[in-house]
Amino acid sequence: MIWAVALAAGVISAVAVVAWHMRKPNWRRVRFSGLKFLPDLDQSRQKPQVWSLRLPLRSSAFWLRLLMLAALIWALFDNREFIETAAAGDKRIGLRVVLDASASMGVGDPARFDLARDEAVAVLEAAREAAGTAPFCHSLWLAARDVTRAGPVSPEDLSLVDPVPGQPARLALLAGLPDPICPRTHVVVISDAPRGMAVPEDVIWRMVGPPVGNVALTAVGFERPGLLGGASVLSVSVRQFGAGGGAASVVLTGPGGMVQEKVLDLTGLPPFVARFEVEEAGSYEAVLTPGGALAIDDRVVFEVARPGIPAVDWRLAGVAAPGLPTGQGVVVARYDTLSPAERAGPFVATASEWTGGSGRIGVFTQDTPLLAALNLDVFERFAPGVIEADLPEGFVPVIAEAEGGRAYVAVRQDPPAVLLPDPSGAPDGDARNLALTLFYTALEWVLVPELEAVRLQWKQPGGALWRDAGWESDTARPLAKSDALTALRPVAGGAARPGRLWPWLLVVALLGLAAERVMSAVAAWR
Amino acid sequence: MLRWRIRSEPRDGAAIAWAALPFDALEQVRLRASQRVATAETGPHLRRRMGQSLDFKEHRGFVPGDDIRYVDWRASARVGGASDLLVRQFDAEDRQQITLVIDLGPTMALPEQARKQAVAVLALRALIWVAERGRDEVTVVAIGSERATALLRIKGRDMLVRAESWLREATAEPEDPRPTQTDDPALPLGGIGILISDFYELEDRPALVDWAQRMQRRHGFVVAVELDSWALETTPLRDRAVVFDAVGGALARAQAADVTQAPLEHARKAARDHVRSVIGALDFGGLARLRWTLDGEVIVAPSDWIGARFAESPDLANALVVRS
Repeated sequence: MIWAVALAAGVISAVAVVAWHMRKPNWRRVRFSGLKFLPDLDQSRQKPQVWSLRLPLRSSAFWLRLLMLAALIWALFDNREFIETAAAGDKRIGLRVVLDASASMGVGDPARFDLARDEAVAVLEAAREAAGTAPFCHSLWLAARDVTRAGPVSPEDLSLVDPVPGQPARLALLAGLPDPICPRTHVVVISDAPRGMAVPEDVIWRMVGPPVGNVALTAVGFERPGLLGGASVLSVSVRQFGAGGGAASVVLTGPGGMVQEKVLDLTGLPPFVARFEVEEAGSYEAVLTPGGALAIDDRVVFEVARPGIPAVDWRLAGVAAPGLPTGQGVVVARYDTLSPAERAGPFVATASEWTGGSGRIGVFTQDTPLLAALNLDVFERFAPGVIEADLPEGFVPVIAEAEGGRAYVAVRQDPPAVLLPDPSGAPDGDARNLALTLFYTALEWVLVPELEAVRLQWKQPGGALWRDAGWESDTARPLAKSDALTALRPVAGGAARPGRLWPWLLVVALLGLAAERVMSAVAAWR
Repeated sequence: MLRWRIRSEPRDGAAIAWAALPFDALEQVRLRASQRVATAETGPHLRRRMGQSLDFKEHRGFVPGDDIRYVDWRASARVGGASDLLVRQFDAEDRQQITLVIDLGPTMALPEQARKQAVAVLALRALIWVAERGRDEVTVVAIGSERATALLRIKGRDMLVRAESWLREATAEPEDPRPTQTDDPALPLGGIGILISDFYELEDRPALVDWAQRMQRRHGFVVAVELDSWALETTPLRDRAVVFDAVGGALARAQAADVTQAPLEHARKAARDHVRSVIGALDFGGLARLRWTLDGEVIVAPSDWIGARFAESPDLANALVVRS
């Protein structure tokens, strides 16, 4: 902004100089050898000045005056420091103060950012006093959304005009960016967040702002119905930071004018989840009231693509199909009957038989839902045949035999697919129950994933969508003790001595003025 | 005076000063001058009195005091009698003395499109060419501001070449000729003096007055050539308002003024009266006046212009015939 003003001032001044040089006297300066004989003449009645449309490009005085103006305007608007000399080993203080300008810094009365600004001034004064006669320079940095383009700001520009989500990692990144103008020896970060793990030890962390309670929408989960049918469920999580309690209302609006409201009692123990049954795909919006101290985390929008169960193409004759919608979707068949296109999509395919023999389990995957309902001892007793062929690309064994390491069951995550023994050949009794349990568990794993996390965007009062507003919600963190400022003392940090550019620009302007005056005097003398 | 020049190109008027000389017109001047000459010492000019050239003129009767070597014994024998000795009489061979004085005052540096000083240099070169052809001896005097005076005395061959070299150096700085000869030469008796000036500010240059007196006293006759640039300078003044810079003793007039006819006519009359009175004051009994008016031709064809001035100035040719 300030450079736009400087540019405007420069352009206006240059136009003024050009216009001034385009003036032309409406009289002619002459030397007349008979002047002594000429009586006094009447003053000319013509206009003393007229305009000439010719640009004064050949006038040395014109260029000198432009140079003077440019130097003066530059000196007026540029207060930057530069490295004046290089004296290795000199002790100095190059202080960088990084201010957290995140949204949570607007919380409180007075706002945390105002406290941070006062803290920054105090830190600067302390550093200047600690520097004494040693060279001292400083720069103020604001944690902006795009930290790679962040840079120093002047104290006059310190205002929370664009609160953005910020985290200690971002602040630390700002702390480490190079600065050729004022190479840092000390970094002070002022934030409402506590020091994070990624912050280097030599960074002085100053925390501001007492804890303030807040309630926020933090997550939304999506749960599909089971094999027996039913409605899909959206789970909207509400989190309370700090002391609070009371009731909070979550209103969900969706496609087709769907509006549902759930009231949560926040006096109990978390988690606080509002569950909504949904049937249609589309955009949904959840609004929390009351929202607490921070307003940026009270409204979320998200998309639901497929609320129900996908259709099933059932080709296994020996296994009964549950009451599922049929059509193109998940293929249930023998693996060797699948086309290459079907093998690339979701399927549940049989690749071996239950022979009724026994076996020994080698490796298996813990905590997988496919094996959750099985007793592995029973499995060993009625072990099926292994998958003889090499596993297709993307498949990993879930459970394998001990001797050869060949898989009994293998899965692929994306798109979901399972290779397993055909339960139709299993002997009646425990073996068949085991085989059907494994088969239907695998079918549910493919058809109904576990609770899916929904990608959220927090909708701001102005309509903007933030993906990371949830980072700001915790405004109730206890105020930690800030690092002491005793480390602010001159150190041999680098070989830079800061200087100001504007005095040199003034020198240039003065030299230009002297040259212009000399040329003018010479011209008058001639 | 030291001056720092930003521009290095030749000053205006150089083309006029160093224009080609109108040799044909000058030859006519020389021939007319050679008809009757009074001399100061032996030289190549012919004159109607007994001299010592090889050109026989006539016999006359021997008178006591005649050089016995000039007795024409054979002619005397034909006439007969010791008292009838005849001596040979020859045309004289005399060297003319010409003193050329130019004014380099501040007003002579104007007008800028045809500086009077440049015109004076052109006239000087023409006169020196005539003198060289006549094997005369020339003293050139350039007088600037105050008493700044440069002198050159030349005779023999290559007079013009030497004079031009000297003139270039002497007039390199207007109003400040470089003294090339500190001795003040004693002018010989006889000869002529030519003084070229605009006579506007003679009162500020006592050296010029001194030379005018000296030339009249020694040579007996001086031609004052007045360079009149009034019309050339005043015509452009009427185009638009003007501001006058200082010139010589006249102060600058910083106020823009319209130059009308009435004040110009008044000034013209005052200037003529002034010049007339100044030249009159310089006349100590041997001074003739010529007025050369500068016009557009001196700018576009300076050679033709100076030739015409010599052709229409019989007084100048006659001036080269110095009274004995």
